Amino acid sequence: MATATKSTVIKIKVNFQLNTPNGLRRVIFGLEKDTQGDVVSWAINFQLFERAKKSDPFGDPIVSLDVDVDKALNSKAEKASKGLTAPQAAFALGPAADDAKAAESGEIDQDDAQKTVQKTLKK
Amino acid sequence: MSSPGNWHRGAFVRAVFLLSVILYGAQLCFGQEGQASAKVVETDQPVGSCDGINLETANYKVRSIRIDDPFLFLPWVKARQKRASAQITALVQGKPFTYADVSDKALKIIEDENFLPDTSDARVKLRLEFVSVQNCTGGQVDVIYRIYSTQILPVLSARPEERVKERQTPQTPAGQSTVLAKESSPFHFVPTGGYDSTDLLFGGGRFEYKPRRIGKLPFQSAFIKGEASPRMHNVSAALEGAYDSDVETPGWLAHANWLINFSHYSLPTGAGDIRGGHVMLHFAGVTKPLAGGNLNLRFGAALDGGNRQTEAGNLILAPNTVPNAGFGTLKLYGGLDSRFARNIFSASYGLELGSVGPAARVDWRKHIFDARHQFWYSLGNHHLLDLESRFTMGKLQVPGKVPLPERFFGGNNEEFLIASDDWQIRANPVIRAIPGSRFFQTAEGAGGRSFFSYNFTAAYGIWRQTLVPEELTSDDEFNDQLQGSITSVTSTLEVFYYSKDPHYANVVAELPAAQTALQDLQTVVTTVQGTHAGQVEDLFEACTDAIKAVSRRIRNAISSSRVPYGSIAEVLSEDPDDDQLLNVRQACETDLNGALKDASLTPATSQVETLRTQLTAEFNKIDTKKAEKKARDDMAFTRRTLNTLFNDVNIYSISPVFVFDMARIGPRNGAFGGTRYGPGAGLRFELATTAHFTFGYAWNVNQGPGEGRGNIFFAIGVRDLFH
Repeated sequence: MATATKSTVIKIKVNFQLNTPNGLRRVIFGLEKDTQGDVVSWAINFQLFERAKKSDPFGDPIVSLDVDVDKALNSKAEKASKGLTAPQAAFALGPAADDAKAAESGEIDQDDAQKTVQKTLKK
Repeated sequence: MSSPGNWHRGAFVRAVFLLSVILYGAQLCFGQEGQASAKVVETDQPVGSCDGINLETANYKVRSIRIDDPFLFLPWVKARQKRASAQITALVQGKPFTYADVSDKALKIIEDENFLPDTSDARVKLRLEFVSVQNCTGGQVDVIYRIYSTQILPVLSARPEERVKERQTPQTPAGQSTVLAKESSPFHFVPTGGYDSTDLLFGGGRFEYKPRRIGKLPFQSAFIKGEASPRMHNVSAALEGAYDSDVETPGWLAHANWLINFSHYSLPTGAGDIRGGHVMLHFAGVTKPLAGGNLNLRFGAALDGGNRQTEAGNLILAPNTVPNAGFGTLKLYGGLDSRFARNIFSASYGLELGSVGPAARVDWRKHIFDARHQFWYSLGNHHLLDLESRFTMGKLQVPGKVPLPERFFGGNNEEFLIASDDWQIRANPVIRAIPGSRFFQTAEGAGGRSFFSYNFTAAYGIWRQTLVPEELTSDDEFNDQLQGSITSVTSTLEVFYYSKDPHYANVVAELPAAQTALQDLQTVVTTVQGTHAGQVEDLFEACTDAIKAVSRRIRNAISSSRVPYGSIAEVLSEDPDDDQLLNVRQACETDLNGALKDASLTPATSQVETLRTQLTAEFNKIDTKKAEKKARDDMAFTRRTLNTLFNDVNIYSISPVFVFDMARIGPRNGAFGGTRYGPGAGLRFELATTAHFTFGYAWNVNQGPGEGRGNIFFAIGVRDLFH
């Protein structure tokens, strides 16, 4: 009879939900760890939600960015997956969200916005 | 006609039959395939282990897929799981394994289904997703998707009422039963039942309609609850409203609720029934955590009016006591709750001022003190030892007259000072060894003028199944990431508290001046570029880019109605990779003006640098340590609750129970009044997917007249039938 083996995790995703005090902006900072054989890579799934009134639902994200994390930042991604620090949370809700929105409106390049989002890990 | 003895035996047989049905149902439940808590067997030899294999390059095929969620027994979760399973099966099953499909696309399907919709109350959300593989045999592999999501009430989780729910219905404290999902019904019905030898076998439940709002009224739910037997009934109907503050929202009030309630009860004493009907207006509030995040305060008030009646029987009236009367009361109450890693402590005090008839005078005063302590500890893996203690005392002062049912009647029946489910202040001596409300005879007549009771329950979970699979709860990475979710929310709060520092306000006030200085600098740079046409164009571009980048950050900071701490920190940073004011100085003064030596640039760059220095000095004065502590304190209950939910909660457990009660009513004279002791034992069965019950017997060691030698106690609550 076949017995079940211990499972091997090939992907972990942790979603950090960050809200501004006025309740009008929300960022979901998703960190994904992929393991293919012995190779580990990280990615950020950054979603920005905004609403006009606190009583409205957030609805769908106004911006969603997927960023492959530079291998040099793997250790920082690993650390961030255990919780964002205050400077990281502030950066994600501020400059990262602003740039994601600016890229969506064409004010800055998508690449620049992705770089800013990735910079969250370095804060 | 059947005798009472036969009736009791019949009730007992029915109770045992009900127990058998539930146990059988539980067996069926445990046998269901796909439960998240299914154990993974670890063999000594890892045949079929997938560790270290690149399944894509090794040309594996997907044999099967499965989505696990601990709350699959909830219909709205099950519906999403079914839809996602169907899509993922079509995408990957029987096909060559690719990480893009199996990991990324499949997880996207699960995320699109949103296994964690918002709730009707404000909670802290956490979501972890895992994709695992196992049984790498015969060129095929099984894929498991695991979703662990929860949303915790930041402050209310410190209540003892909430700890009971963690054991009995973990889906409720995990925020899975109040989601705003279309598959989630606004109707809730929780059947309940029980038995004791005076009340006899009783049944009932709680039916609730909980839309987001009821018309334009300030209420979010309407409910009817009650229990009845041929000998007793206790029913109430209410409209209830609530307010929850988000953890990130400023202010001291975390939660408030209000209700209009109508209740009617009739409780047997063995010598006549005590009855009452009344309407109550109730308001209560809960503060955010205080004292280093270790306690919060509750406060409330209620206005109550109705009637109290006594069925003619053998009840002897005490002095200044009337059998039937209309009445009005004002109730004021306060309390505190505290939750630590393995303890919850709560204490409440209530004052009732009552009058007979519609009069503005005090005919009686009632003081109630009710304290609860709950301790739980895992002996072995998830075998929980639960110790619950409750101490209640009360005193009645009668300067005028008091209706008989307002005096203290004790026994297995519980009476509460207020009608709120969120805050249960017990108001009578409870002793499980005495059935119904038979503990009432005192030296001066029926109903006590003072009482205390102490109830102790110890339970040890012998058989259990964990809510989260044990291989994950013992995994350091899983636990780190779980904590990480709370850490991130705490960090957001910390940033909010930075913004409350006066130095932060000073920085924000100076931002327009910095913006003006940058605009002035840009004007000068443009003028100077005209003067030096064709020279060092790359340096002019670098200077202009630096000004633009910083200006954009400052503009966002000024225009934003949220806390722009991140943008300000970026502008004042010393990291050259950031859009910071130092870059402006470097690009415009050091590099550009270093090459041009144009005196007209210097005043403008100096002005920017002066402001940068002032802003940085002020920014560095923000008390970050204080903010960090405040944020940590605010989230203490949430973190402790999360640890309990993931590390201590079982999806089912069966526990032997030992009980010991002690109760006293006064005044005493001989066998009338005095102290009773009630040791006992029983069985507790808690199955989140189906029902929970406690069944046992307690002896009345030194019984008084009419109290009986002991009591079979049995209480059951079934899972919400609409969920």
